[in-house]
Amino acid sequence: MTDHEPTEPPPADAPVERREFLKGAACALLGGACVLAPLAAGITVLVHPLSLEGPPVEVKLTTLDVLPIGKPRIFQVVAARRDAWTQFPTQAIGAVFLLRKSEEEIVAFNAACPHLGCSVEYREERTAFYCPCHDSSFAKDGAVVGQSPSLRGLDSLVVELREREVWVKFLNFKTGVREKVAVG
Amino acid sequence: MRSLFDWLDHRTGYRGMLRAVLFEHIPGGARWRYVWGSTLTFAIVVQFITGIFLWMAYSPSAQTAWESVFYLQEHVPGGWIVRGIHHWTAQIMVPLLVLHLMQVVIDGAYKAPREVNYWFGIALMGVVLALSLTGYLLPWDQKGFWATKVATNLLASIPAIGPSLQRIVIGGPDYGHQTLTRFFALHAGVLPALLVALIVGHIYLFRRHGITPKRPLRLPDARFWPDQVLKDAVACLAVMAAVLTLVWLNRGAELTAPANPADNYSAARPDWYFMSLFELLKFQEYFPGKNLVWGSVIIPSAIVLFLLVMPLWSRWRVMHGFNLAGLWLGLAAFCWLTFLAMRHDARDPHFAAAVKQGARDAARAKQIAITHGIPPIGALELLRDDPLTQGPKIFAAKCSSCHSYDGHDGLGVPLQDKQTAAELKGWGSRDWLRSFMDPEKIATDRWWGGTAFVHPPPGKSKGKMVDYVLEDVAKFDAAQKQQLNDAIVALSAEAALPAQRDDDKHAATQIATGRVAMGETQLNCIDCHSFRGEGGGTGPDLTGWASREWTIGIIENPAHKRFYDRRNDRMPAYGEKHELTKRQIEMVADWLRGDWQ
Repeated sequence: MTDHEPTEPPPADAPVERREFLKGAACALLGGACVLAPLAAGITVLVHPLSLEGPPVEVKLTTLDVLPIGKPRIFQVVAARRDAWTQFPTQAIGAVFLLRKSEEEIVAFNAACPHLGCSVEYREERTAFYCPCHDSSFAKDGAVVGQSPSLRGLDSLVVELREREVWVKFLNFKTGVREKVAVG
Repeated sequence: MRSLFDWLDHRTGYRGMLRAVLFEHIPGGARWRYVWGSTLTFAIVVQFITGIFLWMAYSPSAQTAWESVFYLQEHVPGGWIVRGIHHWTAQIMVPLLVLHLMQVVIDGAYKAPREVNYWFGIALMGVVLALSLTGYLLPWDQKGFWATKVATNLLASIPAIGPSLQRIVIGGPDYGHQTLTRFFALHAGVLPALLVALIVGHIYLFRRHGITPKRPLRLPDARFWPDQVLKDAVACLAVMAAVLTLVWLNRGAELTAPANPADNYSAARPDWYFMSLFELLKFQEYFPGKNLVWGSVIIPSAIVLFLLVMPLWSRWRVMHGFNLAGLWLGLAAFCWLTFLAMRHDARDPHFAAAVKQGARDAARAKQIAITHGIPPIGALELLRDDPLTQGPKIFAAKCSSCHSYDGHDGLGVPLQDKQTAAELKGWGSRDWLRSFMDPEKIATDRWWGGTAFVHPPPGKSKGKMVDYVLEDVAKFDAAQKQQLNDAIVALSAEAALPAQRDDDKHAATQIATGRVAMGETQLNCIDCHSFRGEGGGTGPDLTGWASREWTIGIIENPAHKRFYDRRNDRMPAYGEKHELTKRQIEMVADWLRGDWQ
């Protein structure tokens, strides 16, 4: 560079300024165009989970004979599940409390706390459901008890008796809201 | 707004930095020949963007790597484009690297005082190539797996430390989960971090010394922004357009079948830019007596060493010329060796067949994965138990020394030995029977020409079936020909081929007529064969001929009384002698019969 005297760029006047502005705008436009495709395709991949749905599953949990009247019992929900690429023939996908109220009347609750999704336990001494995470309490019929942070009672599920088998339509629900809204 | 920027500038001095970055002085004005460094930086930015999205989709383990890439390609919208851009940008970076290097050396930009910056560039080139090498394995498909196996075995050829180095790199005595976690950590962590550090150093030093203008200067001086930036942006857009065209033409990036350590994939090749090194591994062919270490270590190291010392003697004009000559020679050697390697493959029928087989396996793996889902044990299992995949491989290994399948060995390779037993494509079909019963064909090599039934050993007579076709069938009148045709339809229906199910259903009357014809005097099949409880003799029982159970039975033991008994020519009892497992025999039978889902 020593053999060359740097020449000053021409002084800025209106046409030159306009030209410079146009060049700058063209640079920005072209630069944006360059990364448009990888960014757009990448963001499409990123938001793909929004279009995924977990269909409700009907599962047999137990038979009527092993359910005592008046005492909630917890059961694992085991079903076939597709997790992204893997097809699991059986996988635990949640837990359900069954309460046999009378000879043929059964209620079912999703064991996830409607507050923030922790697992609820049944505490014999309180005859109530209790969430160890944030101290929500629920009566045997699922209703909120006392000063619970949960905005709604336990989420009931549809139960069906087929012969003497207990079948449940398993669903998860949105947590932290007053309304019971199924998560598809 | 302005005060906010002032506040920021006061605390960061960003305006000064921006000025320094944007308003660099370019003697002689902006030029197209200066764009290569910017296009490379752009390509790296694209790799970072797409790489991060790929990272969110990828799962590095031997049971989930192929599976997650497959899922991204087939089930996630836009997934194939992200992977395609990442793959093809990596491919395009290699010529961009070469262009950048050549421009720098031709323009003398590697000379003092820019040696250190030049070395940064050479180091960057190494990192980019290492990124290509590590990325090639990550899909854990046949191509990546076998190519990486070769590359890491080369590591072991380094004297003294090689074997230990190889074991550290692959994470154990064999390839598996740990190989992937290590390669992934290198590909997505260590190497990109190194790349960023080297680029910062490279650009800092470049700015410190300024551009090396191409003499003579043709235009007034200009500034980096916006004159050179505009040219750079146009070049980057051209690069992206080329990448997108390649993505579109190739429908993204290739994903071959899941890696199978038990199934040698002879179509495995490194990426095209490593093909010259690949050819160099055949060093013994060029210089007999020299060992592998010459092609794998000594020559590549000598090239790198030459690249590194070039600037040290470049101030002498003659040595600059020598450097240039060396580079052009190296480039020519690179092209020539690449050409040799590709020509070698193009002329090799085994390679062509392996490529075809690889494509078939890949398509099949994806098809089963889409229809049945992938089991927790991984996608490899889908192919291991698939008749369409395993059938032709078992056939090529065990059956093709005598039989042919459509004239080849089942995998598309022409037969090595003279064919000495029947063609088996269309086994059980009406067409197969029509060819077999054709007096013009039965004694040809394609059918029974090579068997003892046509050329009996001394003292023995020809097979009765051969005589029957050559002498009786050849003289059949129109009515007999019709009867024969009915019999063929009836016998073929015994096979219950999936492909012929509808035809068989529609031909119920003809099948009934054919069954009767087989027992009538004109055809006389049951003189030698038993069929549905009638007749019998020295020929195989034709009840259930070519059905799944019959086909499995004859492969298990062709010398069983039900089949050829003592007249069996040379066919081994694959089941009885435990040459093949029950499942392998079932898969060959299912493949021959076109019986798969």
